[in-house]
Amino acid sequence: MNIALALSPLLVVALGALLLMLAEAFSPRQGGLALGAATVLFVGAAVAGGVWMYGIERLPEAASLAPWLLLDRFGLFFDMLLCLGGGLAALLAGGYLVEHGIERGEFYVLILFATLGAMILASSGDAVTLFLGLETMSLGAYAMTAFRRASPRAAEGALKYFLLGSFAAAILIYGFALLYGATGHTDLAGIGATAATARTPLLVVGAVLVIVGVAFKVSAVPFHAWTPDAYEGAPTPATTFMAVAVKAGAFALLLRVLLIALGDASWTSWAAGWPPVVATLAVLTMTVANLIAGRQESVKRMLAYSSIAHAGYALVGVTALMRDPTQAGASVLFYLLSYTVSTAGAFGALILCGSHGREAVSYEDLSGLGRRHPAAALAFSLFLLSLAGIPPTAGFFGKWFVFKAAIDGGLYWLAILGFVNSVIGAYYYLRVMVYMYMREPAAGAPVALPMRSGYVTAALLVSALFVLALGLVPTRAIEVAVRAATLGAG
Amino acid sequence: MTATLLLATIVKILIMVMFVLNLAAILTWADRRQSSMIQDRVGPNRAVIKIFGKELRLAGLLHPLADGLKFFTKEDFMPPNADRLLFTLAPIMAMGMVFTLVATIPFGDTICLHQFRLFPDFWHVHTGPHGELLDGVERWGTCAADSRNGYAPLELVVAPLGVGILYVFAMSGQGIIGAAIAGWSSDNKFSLMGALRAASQMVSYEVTLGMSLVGAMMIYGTVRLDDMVRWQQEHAWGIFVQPLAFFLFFAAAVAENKRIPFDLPEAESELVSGYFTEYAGMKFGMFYFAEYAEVVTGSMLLVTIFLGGWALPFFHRDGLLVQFGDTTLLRVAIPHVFVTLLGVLAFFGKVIVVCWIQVFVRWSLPRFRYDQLMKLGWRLLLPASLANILVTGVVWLAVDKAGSAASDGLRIAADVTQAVVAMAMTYLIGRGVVGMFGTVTHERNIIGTSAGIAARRGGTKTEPMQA
Amino acid sequence: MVALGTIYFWVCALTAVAGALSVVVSKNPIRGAMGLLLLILSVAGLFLALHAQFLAAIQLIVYAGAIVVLFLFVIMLLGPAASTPNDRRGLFARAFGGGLAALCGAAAIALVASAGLAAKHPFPLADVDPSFGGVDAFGSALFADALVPFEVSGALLMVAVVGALAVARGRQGVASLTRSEREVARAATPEPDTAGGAGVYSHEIHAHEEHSS
Repeated sequence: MNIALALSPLLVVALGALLLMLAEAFSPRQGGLALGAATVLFVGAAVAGGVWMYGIERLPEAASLAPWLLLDRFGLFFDMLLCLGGGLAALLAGGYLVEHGIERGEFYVLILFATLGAMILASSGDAVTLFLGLETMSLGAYAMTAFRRASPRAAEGALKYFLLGSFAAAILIYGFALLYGATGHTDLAGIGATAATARTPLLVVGAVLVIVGVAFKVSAVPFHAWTPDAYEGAPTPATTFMAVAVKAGAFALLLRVLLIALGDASWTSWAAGWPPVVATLAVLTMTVANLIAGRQESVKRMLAYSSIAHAGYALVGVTALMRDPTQAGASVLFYLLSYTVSTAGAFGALILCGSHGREAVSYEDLSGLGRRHPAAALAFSLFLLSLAGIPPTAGFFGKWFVFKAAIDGGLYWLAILGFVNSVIGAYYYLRVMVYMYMREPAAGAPVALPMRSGYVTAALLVSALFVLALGLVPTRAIEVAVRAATLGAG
Repeated sequence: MTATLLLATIVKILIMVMFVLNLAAILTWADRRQSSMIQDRVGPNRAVIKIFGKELRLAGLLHPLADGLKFFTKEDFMPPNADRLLFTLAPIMAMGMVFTLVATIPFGDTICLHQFRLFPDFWHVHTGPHGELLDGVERWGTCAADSRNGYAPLELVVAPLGVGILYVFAMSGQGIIGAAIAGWSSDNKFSLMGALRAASQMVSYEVTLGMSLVGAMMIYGTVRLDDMVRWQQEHAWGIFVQPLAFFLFFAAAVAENKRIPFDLPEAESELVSGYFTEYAGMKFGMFYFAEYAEVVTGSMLLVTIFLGGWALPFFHRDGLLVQFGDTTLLRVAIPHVFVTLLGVLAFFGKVIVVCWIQVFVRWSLPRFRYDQLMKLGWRLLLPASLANILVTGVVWLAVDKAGSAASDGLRIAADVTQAVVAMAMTYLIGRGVVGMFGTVTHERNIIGTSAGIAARRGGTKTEPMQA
Repeated sequence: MVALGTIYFWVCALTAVAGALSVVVSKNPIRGAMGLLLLILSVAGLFLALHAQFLAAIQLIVYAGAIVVLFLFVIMLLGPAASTPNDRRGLFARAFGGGLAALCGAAAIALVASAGLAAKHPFPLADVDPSFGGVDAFGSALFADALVPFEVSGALLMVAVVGALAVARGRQGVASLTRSEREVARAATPEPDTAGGAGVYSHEIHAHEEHSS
């Protein structure tokens, strides 16, 4: 029974997904599934929060699932985060799919199952469950990307995503196979114990392949090539899901692998470990993504590059794990939380700006929005400010903690590079606002007509609440992140 | 000792292969003969052999022989644009897989030999004063082979594999590929259509085929075919414990064989003859033969899993024992080897009967349409087989929890089914024997209008029918 | 007996490599699929030598009986139009990619081989517990030790099914396409190939044969 309690966030989402499938199959009329899916996910988040409050330490039976599933505060934090992100995506889908005439129940089931996969991924302590969770999450994301299959852009994006994603999964599993060959363990703790004592070439190659595979999933440069096309081609709620939940799940994977399997001092040293690799990825990701994002003409594509850039900022925090796993880990968790709500909100605002099969995608579409539809423009601006990292929003403290962790870890240059990059990033976020508030549409040009949808409004309200709350009083959240990261290291 | 084992294995292979080959050949005859009976016509009777000036027709039984001769002597034609390697490989695959499949099917109980010798001592071991088996030989189970008593088991199965039924599925899966590449390599659109249909149909029904057996495996607690038969010998035949699975498996097996009503891959009214349209000579013969061999192997599986295999009701390894619950009615000691041989005969007899039923099915049902076929497979048979698994599991758990009263009741019910089977078999065999010696009355049952008119006018034939 | 085991291993291993090579090299996709079948069969043979009977049987059922058949099905369904014309573009990229892959492959093989040589596993393996690799052992491993991954793989399969359904039904989105998207879609739809043969690609094959003979 206690095991069921410890597993309850996963169980809620899994059972909810199955029930939703039944409801979709047997209900006489369409609709309402978005509400169902979002409810399931928010209940999942609430249940995870409940287990967090009750104290997962008081459920010792949960350890019997180790090493398959490590039910700890780290996993619970990600359960909440992923359920929140997935729930926001489901709400957005409720508005978007109906508005664009592609409402079908499978989408919500896919969101639920993909979220479940991400939760499993975040809780897994063994290469087997880890891979299964990763694939559950990825398959759902592939299918959601290809959801509007008739559109060539969606098909192109989905195909690229699928092929490169499968390739990345193959690299990842190959890396774990080599790690297994080198250590005789598939569980991360076992790999870590053996990796701490002896370093063989097999082990190093395996570790590199695993990091490369994860870098594909978090879309770090130079493994980001699929991201813009997939993000642009997918229906925007699916883009939201990919930007939010898939990325968070992949970061959970990265943290678990780096902290548990490669967490020994010999691996975390700058001279002979993974930090230089991750730091290089971080610098490349931030810089390249920011430079390209500024040149985009499509807001959706710009947000895709922005999500790549944000992966880079989070990787700065991951690099800082080498000195102080708890503080740096907490900074990454907090960053992911702030990024989740900001990105979901930004994509939600973009969704809000389109209606009747016409999406707002380019900057020009948005011109003059601030005058015509001030509420939509205001929401958009809030989330863009948060993404840019301007106080008093969540994004500011997210960046602040990550850079602080880097500085505390002695990585001054990394923090400075990150700061320079956020300044570059501010350019293209503010450019959207310039268009919204300071430009008027050219005569006869198409203008964005915001949709009216309770779902999207609700999603934006929730996101905005989180963005402001985290931006004004981040202490409580950072305490939670610290507790999650503390246990995650052990 | 190893030489004897080798010899025994060769003999076992010969028995199985010869049985399959010969029964398949006879089935080609039975198929045509049965159709002629159903359609009220004479059927094949032209093949004739003259011995000492006397014409022998043997009711058309010479036709398989003549067919074989014809296949061997016909031109081995190959379409000019065919893919030669695959075109040749396809019939070999189709036929080869059927014959590798029979390797795990047990055709008799394990014989306990005193020693492995060149001329084994079959007769002097085993039975005690009351007919019970002596040391090392249990009433149930296999021969406990150990050096203590010197008994050695002679398993009447070519390859006693631990994975049992899974091997059968593994092999039957390969048969699909034979059909698929046959159609593809022929460079003919009809062939290609047939191959597509064959591949999709067989993959679809393979699922049901496997799923329908899961319930049986749960009940028997094993995947080994010989252990399945032993369970049925000890308890009740599979058809009584898994009636739904029996029908599902039967339907899926017929579909796997691509016979009417599932013969869409070779539907002659639509696709000439489907994936083997371009085949001639012995290559065609191999496809033709493989189909009938599949009927035989399918029947063997059906018999083994659902109809008790070699088991006969109330016959145990040490003789006849009629027992209901704890009440023993009759006990006759029979030497172990006799019982085993009787079992072998019973197995082959049952296979022949099931083959005949399959022939009967073929000539009684019309062909499905393609979408009907797929709907039947995916929306009826597969859910039914899944439901069967669920129900089996629930019932199994319920009986397990219910305690000894339920299991005792089931025990007696199982014995009753044995009695039912015994009576039915006795009746049918008796009926058959009586029928053999009874006079043949030929009734013409005319329903059709034109035939009815002809009959009212006094018939179209002045001569009586030749049978 | 050791010699027999070694011969068995080498036969299986070499046919596996030959099958794998033919998958990569073969220009005719059906022959490639047949190479895959050969590979699967020989790997199943290797599993048997490792006392993994159940794994061998499952390998045959799942890969040979289902996956190769689906490959065949798709190749036949697509027909000759699906074969890509000879592409000489990007020779450098291809040589670079191939060389890199070959290098990585060689390095990986060297690594694994060195690790394997260090461990010195005898082949065929020493006698193991007869229950090893059987259905019982596999079942208890699957349903007792590894219950969690087993259940999780249920979620994976479910999402795969739902995803396939979602994508397969996706033609309904046509109404939501913009005009430019619709034009691209029309241009990208290939004309049905009415001229070609049934699907053997044999014209090509025999043209080659005639040249060589």
